[in-house]
Amino acid sequence: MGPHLNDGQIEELFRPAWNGNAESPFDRGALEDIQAHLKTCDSCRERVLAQQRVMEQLALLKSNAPVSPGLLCPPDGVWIEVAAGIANPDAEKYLSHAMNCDHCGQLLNQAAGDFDEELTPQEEAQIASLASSTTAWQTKVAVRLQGIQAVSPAGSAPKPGWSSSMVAFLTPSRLTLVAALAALILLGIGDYRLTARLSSQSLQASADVNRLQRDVDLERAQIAELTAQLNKPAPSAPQPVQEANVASLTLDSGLSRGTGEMKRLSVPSGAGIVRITLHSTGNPDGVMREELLTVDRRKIWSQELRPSDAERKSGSLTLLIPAYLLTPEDYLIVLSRELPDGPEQVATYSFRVPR
Amino acid sequence: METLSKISIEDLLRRCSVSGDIEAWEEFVRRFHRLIAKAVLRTAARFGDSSKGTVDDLIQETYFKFCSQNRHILRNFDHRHPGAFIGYLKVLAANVVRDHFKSAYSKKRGANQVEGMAEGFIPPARKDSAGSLESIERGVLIGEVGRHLALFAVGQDRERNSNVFWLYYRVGLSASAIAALPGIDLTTKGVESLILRMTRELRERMTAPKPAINVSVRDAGKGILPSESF
Repeated sequence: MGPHLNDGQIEELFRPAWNGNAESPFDRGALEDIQAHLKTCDSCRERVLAQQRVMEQLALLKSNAPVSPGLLCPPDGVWIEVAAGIANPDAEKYLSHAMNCDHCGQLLNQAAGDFDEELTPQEEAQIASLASSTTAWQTKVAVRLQGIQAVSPAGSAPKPGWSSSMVAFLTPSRLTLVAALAALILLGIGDYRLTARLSSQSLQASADVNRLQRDVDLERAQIAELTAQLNKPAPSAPQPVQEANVASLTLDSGLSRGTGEMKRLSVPSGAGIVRITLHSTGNPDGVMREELLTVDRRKIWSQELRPSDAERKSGSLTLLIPAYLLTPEDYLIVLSRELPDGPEQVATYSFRVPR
Repeated sequence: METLSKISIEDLLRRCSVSGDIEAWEEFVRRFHRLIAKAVLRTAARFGDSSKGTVDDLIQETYFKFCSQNRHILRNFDHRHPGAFIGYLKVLAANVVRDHFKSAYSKKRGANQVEGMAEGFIPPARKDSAGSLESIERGVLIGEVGRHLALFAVGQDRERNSNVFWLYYRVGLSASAIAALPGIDLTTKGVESLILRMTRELRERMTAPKPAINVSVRDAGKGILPSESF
């Protein structure tokens, strides 16, 4: 039967139940020996069972039943802040309360569970499958976030009471010294403000450049994507699903007069791309530029076009525009030709996206 | 992006507070997406709707909170400690979800409406309600554990150690959740080790044979002896 189990061996029997992460000093063989000893030794078995009963009692300390709030319970929102580790002068008071109140203890437990670092495999899969986990979604949101106008960093406004305290400080004997100091301070302030303004302008300008660069990159990527779709070899069988995602419109040059004459483009829900065929483009040749504008000349989209042979012969051009850009409104398309001495306007088209 | 991935949260917020810095916002969304998505997903799941559409919308709403009030949060956030902004982000995301569902339920049920209760309605008592046998037994157990704890949780960290014990066993928090709480000042390993030691001590105390009360009638002092009683 061997000697009785020591404290360390008994301790080991309870470790997996609640602290499996801790390093175990026992190997698998030693654990099997402990189990074998328990089968034959009533004394050790009784000792282990007694400790097992304590562990079962400890498990009963937690209340799982829903409990109503008491009069002293703080607002429910407090527990989110405590679980997030936000420093709060009353945090320790709240914790003491949660330890003695099953209602608040459960709320704290819930909040802590929401913020637990570990993700389950199921949660990992759920997050990975979100649209917001894609780079495209994140870029789109980042573009929208940066576009929301913010005020420039606040300049250093003079503090109230500055002049009055200076006046109080002045006496005839100090006047000369103070005047010299004041001149120096004013020069310093002027210099500081100039530096701050220039720095702010520089920051703003570099941000604008970045934004423009990003716009250009985005447009290029979108054009490349659309061109790739356009240049795909025609499938052997018709693909109605893809075609259903494209809204089409044919336009002749010239501005429309009155609402009745304006061509209408209905963009069905689910449409990803709008294909617009422009007629009467003259002789589309070289590098052409298309700009999509609202009637108040706000630029929505622009792209460079290199007409194909077929387009050159037919005198028409086909544009592909992302459908999400075309919200219900009136639009203009300005077509111009890139020349060495600048762009030359070729034709203007108008259409309406109805509600 | 190469350099932005290494800048501090403080600098990142400063750059995002200036409109037009697309790279900073891309880094912001990239860096905090997982954290926000996790908090939103779990909180939304608790309210019963963790569909992709809802979660994506709430994640987006959380990001847009940073631009509210002229980007007040970004410009004025007080970085009191290294994890301050992360903690704030978790709370913000959870509150966005809570507000969304509270508003949705309020609309569904009708705001400011009170449901009627049938006359003579007596709510059935739950098995575990206050006053039930289970509840009384649990109260006794809490008292007994508390008495043992008071005997061996001593020293300058007595209160903190005792709190850790109750937070683990009574509130049911994990060691990592306890370590993240304000005022605990222990790592997850530290909390695990403390719980290990306290549980061992408690087990030994609660299983130790009680000292026998062996007082003879002769030593009992003056009192009413059975034969003298009425």
